[in-house]
Amino acid sequence: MAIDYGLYLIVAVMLFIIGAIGFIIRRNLLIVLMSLELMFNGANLAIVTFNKIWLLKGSSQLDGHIFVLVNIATATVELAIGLAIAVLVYRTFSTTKTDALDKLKK
Amino acid sequence: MKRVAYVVVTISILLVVTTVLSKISDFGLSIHTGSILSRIVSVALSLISILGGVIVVISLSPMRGVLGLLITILGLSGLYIQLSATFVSMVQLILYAGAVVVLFVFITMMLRINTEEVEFDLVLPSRYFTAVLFGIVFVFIVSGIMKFVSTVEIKEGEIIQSELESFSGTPVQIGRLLTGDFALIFEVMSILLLIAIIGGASIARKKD
Repeated sequence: MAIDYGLYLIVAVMLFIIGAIGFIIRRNLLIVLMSLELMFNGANLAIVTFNKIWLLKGSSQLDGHIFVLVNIATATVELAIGLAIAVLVYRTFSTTKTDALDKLKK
Repeated sequence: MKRVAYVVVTISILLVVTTVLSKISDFGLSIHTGSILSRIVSVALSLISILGGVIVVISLSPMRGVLGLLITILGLSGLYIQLSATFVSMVQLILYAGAVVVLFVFITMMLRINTEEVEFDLVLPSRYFTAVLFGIVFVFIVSGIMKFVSTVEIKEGEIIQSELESFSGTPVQIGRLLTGDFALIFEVMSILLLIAIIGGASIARKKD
């Protein structure tokens, strides 16, 4: 089993940066939420990688895995609320572009 | 014109990815105890997950973006198995590919987004500026990782050899932790999910 930690860390950072770019430059609300999920996934990969390094150095604790599980649950909750808000925005403005959301009411 | 920008952005991102991955062999933090095959598998899984992320960001329609997200999730699930985090990998498959992606597909189909509304957003120069800014941030973070790798180099003698071969994050261990040391966090997670159910229902409700 070959384990390339540098590769995994770079992949994690790249996923996070791609998600951040998508979060900023895209105007579709659904794509923005997907970019948010990409950032969550990058962070999770970094946490699991660091935990594996820790395990290889002699520790037996799995705190990082628990952290990732809590993170996944939080991401799911955030997504449920975010998609509910997206449905509400579509019902109010008949569009999912974030440019339409420059006022608090219609 | 938009198609040209689309293709140029895709090719440049893929070039950056290939360049970075070819530099990976210089890194200190890689341990080879097995065949070249598993190294190829991990590089391929990394490429697949990054490609999915790129598809999410540059896709014209949200449905293609959802499929890109699915690709990323499957690739990351394989990477978690390479990191011997078996339970996290299965949770990733069940919760992300099973719940999150299905929820996205559901909402995307329900909202019925107009085709003329879907356009490529990279036409504004300010957005190119943002992308370049984040590229600079990426370079800084990568240099930080290289510094970390050079300081925290694992020596071959220090490694617990049984750990290198075994699968550490089994469901038994995670279950013991979740009902033992982290029981309070587990309960708080359940309250969070309950709040999400109530909040989602009350936000999306029709008011009349």
